[in-house]
Amino acid sequence: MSAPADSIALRRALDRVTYGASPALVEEAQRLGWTDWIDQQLAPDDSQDAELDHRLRAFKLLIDYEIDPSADGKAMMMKGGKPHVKEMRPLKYLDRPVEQVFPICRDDKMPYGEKERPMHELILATILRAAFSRWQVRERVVGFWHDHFNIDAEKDDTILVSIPSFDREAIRRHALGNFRQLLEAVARSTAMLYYLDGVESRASPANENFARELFELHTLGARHYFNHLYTKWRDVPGALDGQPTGYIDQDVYEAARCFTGWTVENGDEDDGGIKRPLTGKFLVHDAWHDPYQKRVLGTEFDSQRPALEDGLRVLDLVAAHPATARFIAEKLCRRFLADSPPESLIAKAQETFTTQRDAPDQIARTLRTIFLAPEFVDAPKSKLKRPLEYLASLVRCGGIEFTPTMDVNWALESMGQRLFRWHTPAGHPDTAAYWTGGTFLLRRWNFARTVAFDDDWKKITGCRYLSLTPPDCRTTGAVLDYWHQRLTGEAVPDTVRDALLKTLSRDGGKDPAEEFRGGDRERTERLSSCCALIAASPAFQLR
Amino acid sequence: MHLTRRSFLRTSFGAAPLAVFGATHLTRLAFAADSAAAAGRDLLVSIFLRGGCDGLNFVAPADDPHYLAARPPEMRIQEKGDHAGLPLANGFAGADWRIHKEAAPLHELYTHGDLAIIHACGLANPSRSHFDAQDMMERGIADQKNLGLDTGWLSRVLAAIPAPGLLPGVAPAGTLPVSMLGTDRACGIADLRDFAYWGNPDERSVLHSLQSLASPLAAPSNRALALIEAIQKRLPRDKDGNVPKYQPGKGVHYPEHDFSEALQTVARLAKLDVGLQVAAVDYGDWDTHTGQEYRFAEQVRNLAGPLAAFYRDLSDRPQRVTIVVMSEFGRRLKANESGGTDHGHGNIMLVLGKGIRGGRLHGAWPGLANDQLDQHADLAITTDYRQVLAETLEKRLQCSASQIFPDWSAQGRLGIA
Repeated sequence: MSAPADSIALRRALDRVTYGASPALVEEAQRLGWTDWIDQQLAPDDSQDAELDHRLRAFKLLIDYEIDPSADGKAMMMKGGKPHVKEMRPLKYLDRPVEQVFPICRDDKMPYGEKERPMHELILATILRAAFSRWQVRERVVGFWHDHFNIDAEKDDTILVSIPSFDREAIRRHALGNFRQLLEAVARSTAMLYYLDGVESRASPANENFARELFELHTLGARHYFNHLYTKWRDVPGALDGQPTGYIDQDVYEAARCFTGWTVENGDEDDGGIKRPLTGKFLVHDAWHDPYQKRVLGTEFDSQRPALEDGLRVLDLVAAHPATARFIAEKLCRRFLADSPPESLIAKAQETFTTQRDAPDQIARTLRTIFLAPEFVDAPKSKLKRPLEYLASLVRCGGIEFTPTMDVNWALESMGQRLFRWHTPAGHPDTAAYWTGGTFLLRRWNFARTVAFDDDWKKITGCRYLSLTPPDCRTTGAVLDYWHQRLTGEAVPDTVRDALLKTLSRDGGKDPAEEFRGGDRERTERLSSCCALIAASPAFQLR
Repeated sequence: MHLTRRSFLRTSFGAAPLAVFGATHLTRLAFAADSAAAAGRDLLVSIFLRGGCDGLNFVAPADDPHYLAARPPEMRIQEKGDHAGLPLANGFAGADWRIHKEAAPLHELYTHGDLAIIHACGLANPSRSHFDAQDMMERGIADQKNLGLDTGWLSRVLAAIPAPGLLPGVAPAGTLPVSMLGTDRACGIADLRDFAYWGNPDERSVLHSLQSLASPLAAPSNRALALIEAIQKRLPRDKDGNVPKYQPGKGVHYPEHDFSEALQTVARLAKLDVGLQVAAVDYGDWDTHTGQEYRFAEQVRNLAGPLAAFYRDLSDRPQRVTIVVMSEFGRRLKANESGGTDHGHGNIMLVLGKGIRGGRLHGAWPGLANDQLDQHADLAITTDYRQVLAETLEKRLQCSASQIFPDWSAQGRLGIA
């Protein structure tokens, strides 16, 4: 076990596992020490998150859409001659069970602007939690799983309305728990059944979409897809002992058959005219199940077994496969530490994931192994923050007042991150090349300016750089040192000190002893410019 | 020729030093497009249909009994009726070859002789994984063992041809695709109107200094900063100083669609004379496991209209345009029970350009009987996708394909270009 060597290393480690080390968070971690702080974060207590609770309760979401004149609507306003709904509403759908929300997706009179509200609520709650939850590590882990089990909520109205229950019941409930349980909660979720077409999969031929991504993206990973090496299941090394080292298409086909009949109570009419309830809950429809014998990963499945049992056995096999431990360990290390994490760290994480396979907190223990490893706490900054990390860390470290609107979501999208709306099941790429290939990169530079200078954004973000500057910082050098340290956790690099000093000086001087002078407005302007540039620098963009 | 990855990278990059963006290039710019045209190098536009486009619902032998048996009518090209496909001259012998009716603008280009269709081609690797298959095709390989290759095929094209211009390669998107991985001659530009830094000149110079610090951000940041300044200078302005919306050539109308927007960004850049030689354009959502009947028709419509408009828009420029269209794999011959098709193998590719030997189907048709199918399930591949790209590169960009594709040598010549 290893702890950061000094306060600079501690700050760096905190930035690595949170959405930004605010001054208060740094103080808390210093008080507890790294190990105890990590342990507390890995066992979050939801009753102890007062600030977030308050903000979620007080939060209001702008509902703004035009009404089809033929439909009736309430709270109409005329805007541009068209009937319009425009009002602020509190969050409503986040805690509702799926059966209370699902029916609206099938309500033809319900405008799209209402149907997408559950997704909008989840997006904004996610941004609020990133910025303000006390349980920062969990929020980052939740973000990881949402990419790992990616779902595009805009694929279908059924997903728009069921994505909050996916977030709550599958991802958040098990984010730090047991992987096998997480996997099952995902596989049975309304949102995933719709996203990867399981809801329509019936014999025969089965729909292969979910089964393929289950192997490739959720568990064993593409590196253990051996279709280019073997065409018959028995040829895969270990298969005859029931322990194949990887999978091939025959496993995908057979697993797809196992899941036929896993569907949703979606109000559809089945053969024979029997109507399903309209609850959005998981439904096992055995009449759709392919009942004959199957073989997945070298394991025989008897014929005529029920659909639920067949599917769950597949989940048992893939969750316990050694390739899955390797795949998850590597992805966690890549997300939290570096694009190319050290092999030794991956091996440690894989070991914990494997030995703690049956533990209820298997994932938390795996993360603990990673976070307390010397490879983790001693490493220099190298990982580029994703846009939500970038935004939230600017808010948290910069002491910015922040009331998100959907404009924040569009800003994240403009930098390449589509919360709950990434199209393909692999989720966002997790290496820097994706975020830096062109326009996405320069929008990051502009974004730091937007939050400070843009008139529309002043309703969303209140920068308080000047009022937060300690009164004893009287010179441009002292002001620069304070804000660079506060935002990045590091001293100003010598090679850029002069350039940054000029932004604070009234006449472009670079003498650090120059008084930081001028009226509030003028100083705010210069300090905002300086902080926006620090935010655009590698010291802040990387963690 | 068999090349290891190391020696391959040496040969492909050893000769041409990597371009450095900067002011020195500006002086040479004006000549870049003209000299490329004079040297017989087209603007190459590579379009990737992500998700596995169902080539068997796009171009097919409409009367083939195996085809008729494997799919319900709404998931195949029909011979007659309201949804009949458009007949293609010069198809493979023995069948009534047709193209999807929503591809009418492409049908017109085919009939005119500018569009070549290659069928039963693709990535010979048996992967049915979207992400692996795309990765391999974008890296110009066919084997998982080469997935570590750290450049895309278009990056290697950009290294192999003289590329003196400001912006030899572009992807009209927020970032670069894998096909342009590892080159500093290309940049992702989502929208020319916001390809700008909003700080004042002093702030821009500070930003420059900050990006000089050693970090993974240094190279992409410096590239973007240099490009922003040069491109913003060249864009037209209205009286308020804003960049106006792109106006396509006379009589050209782009249908409204994201793909259309992306093509217009490429067209605008081509006309700005920034030395553009290669563009990579993505068009997603082809993964029709369900709802194929409606989704596929819409996908084809939104491919064909914008592509034909783009082709016309750039038709009178000195630098000729060649467009290639590909997808990671085709889809299963037999439909699934949920109104869709699952991942398959062989597929179509399209090559569009003046002087292309179009108006015919190229390649060899393997047939759709059970024992003619790959793994008894999917359309077999008789033409490696790199054969199509290689002929295009050699004839239209004067670029030797042996430099671009490791572990690959030419097979039977198709004669498309």
